[in-house]
Amino acid sequence: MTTTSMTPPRPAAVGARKRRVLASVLGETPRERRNFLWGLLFTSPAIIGLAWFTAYPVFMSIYYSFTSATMVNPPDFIGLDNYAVLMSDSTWWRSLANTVYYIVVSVPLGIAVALFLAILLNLKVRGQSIYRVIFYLPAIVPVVASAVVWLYVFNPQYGVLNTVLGWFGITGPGWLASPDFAMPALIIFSTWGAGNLMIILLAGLQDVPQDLQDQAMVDGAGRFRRFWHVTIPFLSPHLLFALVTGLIAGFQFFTPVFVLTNGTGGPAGSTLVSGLYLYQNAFQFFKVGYASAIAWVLFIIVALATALVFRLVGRRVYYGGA
Amino acid sequence: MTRRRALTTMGGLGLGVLGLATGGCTITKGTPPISNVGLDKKPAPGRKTTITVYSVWGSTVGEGMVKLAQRFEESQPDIGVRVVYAPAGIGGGAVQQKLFTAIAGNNPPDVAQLVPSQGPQWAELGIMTDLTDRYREAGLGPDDFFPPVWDSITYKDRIWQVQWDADPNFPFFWNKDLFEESGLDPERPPQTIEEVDEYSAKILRKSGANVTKIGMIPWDTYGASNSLFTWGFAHGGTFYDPEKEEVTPDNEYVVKALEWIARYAKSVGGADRVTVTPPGLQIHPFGTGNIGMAPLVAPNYRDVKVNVPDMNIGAALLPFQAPGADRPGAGAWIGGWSMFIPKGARHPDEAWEFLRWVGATDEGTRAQWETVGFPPGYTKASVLEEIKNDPLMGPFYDVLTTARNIRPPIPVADFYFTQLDENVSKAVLGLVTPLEAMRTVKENVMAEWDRFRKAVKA
Repeated sequence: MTTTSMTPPRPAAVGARKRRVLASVLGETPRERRNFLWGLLFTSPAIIGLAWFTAYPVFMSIYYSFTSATMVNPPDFIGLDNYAVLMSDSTWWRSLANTVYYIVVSVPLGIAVALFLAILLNLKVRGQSIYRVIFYLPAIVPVVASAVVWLYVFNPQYGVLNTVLGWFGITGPGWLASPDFAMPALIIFSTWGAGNLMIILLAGLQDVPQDLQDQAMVDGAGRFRRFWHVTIPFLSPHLLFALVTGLIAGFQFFTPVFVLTNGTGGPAGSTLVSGLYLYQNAFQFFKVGYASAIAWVLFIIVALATALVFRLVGRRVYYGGA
Repeated sequence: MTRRRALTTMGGLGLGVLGLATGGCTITKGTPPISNVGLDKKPAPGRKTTITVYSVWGSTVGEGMVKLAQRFEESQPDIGVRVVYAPAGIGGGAVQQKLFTAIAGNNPPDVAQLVPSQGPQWAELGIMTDLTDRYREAGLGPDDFFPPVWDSITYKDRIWQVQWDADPNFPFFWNKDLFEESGLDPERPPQTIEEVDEYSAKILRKSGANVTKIGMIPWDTYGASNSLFTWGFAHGGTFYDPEKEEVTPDNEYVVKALEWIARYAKSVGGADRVTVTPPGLQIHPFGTGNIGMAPLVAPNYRDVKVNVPDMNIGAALLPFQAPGADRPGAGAWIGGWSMFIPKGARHPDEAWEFLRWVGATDEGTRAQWETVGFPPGYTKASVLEEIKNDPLMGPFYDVLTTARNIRPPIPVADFYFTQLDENVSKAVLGLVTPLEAMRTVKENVMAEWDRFRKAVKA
């Protein structure tokens, strides 16, 4: 059993400990201390920028979430009112449901598509690098530009999507004009940008030891078994990364829906996601305090969801070694 | 299939889709005018004072604002004008990040722009300067402005804005060629909503599930909320009770208007099946010739006339619906843009000189018409005579001088419009009944109004 001494430390011991801590930060010798200060000076623009433009707004948003801040007036402290109102705000719950719908479908779909493409692009064929460029291209096009292009693709009558469906005798839906298909349209659009993840998974695929694949083949494992028992375990850290970052990006989903629905979350609120609802409250209805509360609740949800993923999936990840 | 062939096919398909998506569609575009006028402007040198004016517009209107500021500088020797392009985001001008940031940072411009219906909210938030005394000193009163304009600029018996653009919403236009093609008399527009239905049935054409020609798109008269305002007024409805300080989207005639809009959408197979315009269309869809009738704003009408000069278009006042409304044009309302002096502006006196010149003097309203090209709200503007006789603007003059409605001037106007946008869409798509939709709007808006009162202690 560990016991803690109740005797207060002697002043000399306290002074020595402080000196040790200072020395570990500033350095033992005058030269090390000088170097540290010079380093601090040279990194100060980044430190000040981080403190002023990131840390300060973060802390202010915590404070604002307990106020009736309107952006243009001094805020009044109202305690937990914003959070209480949020819990009974049906539009907020709907926006959260829309967000979860988006995440539940788009994240696994995005990973599956990226993995499929990565496997294909890992095949050793002539012109491999050209194919890789082609499939990576959508990922480097700015989201707003892509969204504008997809407005054309989703046009019910003149768009390429319904034209292709028409070749198979299928009458395509109204996509962005239909409350049932607007969110699927956004999910399809998001999958279009799977190139970044594809590159990460492609790198992961190239790390899978060939000798293990060969041994599995010698042992009689077919393609699927080799993929499931050799490739997937080696890819599991990458897949976990994809899942966690996809989850976080899903909760922050904003730009495509803003562009494709003209900032309305329509039709009939079917694409009103939490990020857009936050934006509307902050900048359209002057409810900065309320929007800050939304942001912090979203943060907590993201943190819990991420922790849950680590708990459920994290232990199944194979990091190599014994 | 070999792996190589699979990859080749996939690559080809990907490229094909990319090509079709980016270049395979028919795109109709207007040609932007060649101009060396930017959207920002430095002040004329050697002036005693310089004011800063935030302009929310791009394109030709933004250039017009710059030219207007130059004309003001030419009209007097003392005040220079710096024009700063500060674009508005969503919400029809409700979201102006640059302006809000400047105000929050205690560095507001001397003059900023707003849609008049936002006035009550911005006034309650304390970001507008009260102009009542300045109006009085200048001898300006209700007789100097069209009645809806006066209603727009006043709030709680104080005056907050100068409405320099009285946007007449809307004259009613019809495509004479399409009328003739559909067996209708091209010289006889519908006078009532019943006649709109009758004419629409004859114009409707479909290709499978998709509508390819339609009589009118009553749920898309510049967005869902503006659609309901227009057709709600045309049915005799009201959206606001100033005595009770209560919104009234559940007004009998507003609900009837929404029922008509929803019924119309259902009759053509659903609002999501109307695809009468190609993607990327730059002019108003009416210009495609696939829409029989449409209320239009002046710039859209002008664009259609310029880009499709052979189209035969008739103009009249909006159809109406008895018993709530009793005359054609009852649905017309005045929108537009105002200027205001943000609280904390450094040169309020000079800013007021600019505002008054642009919106309430003969010289300034003429300059505005000649540079920006919007109808003034000032009844004594001599340029109104020109607008009346202008072949393009004549129909808008009729609306300007007869319209009596404005959108509800309440402190949560934009929230109200957003609620209408969502719930009108739901009713039009058949997800809820019109009455349910409007009751939801009322409940949400009144709750928001209560919250706003508490937040700003109004």
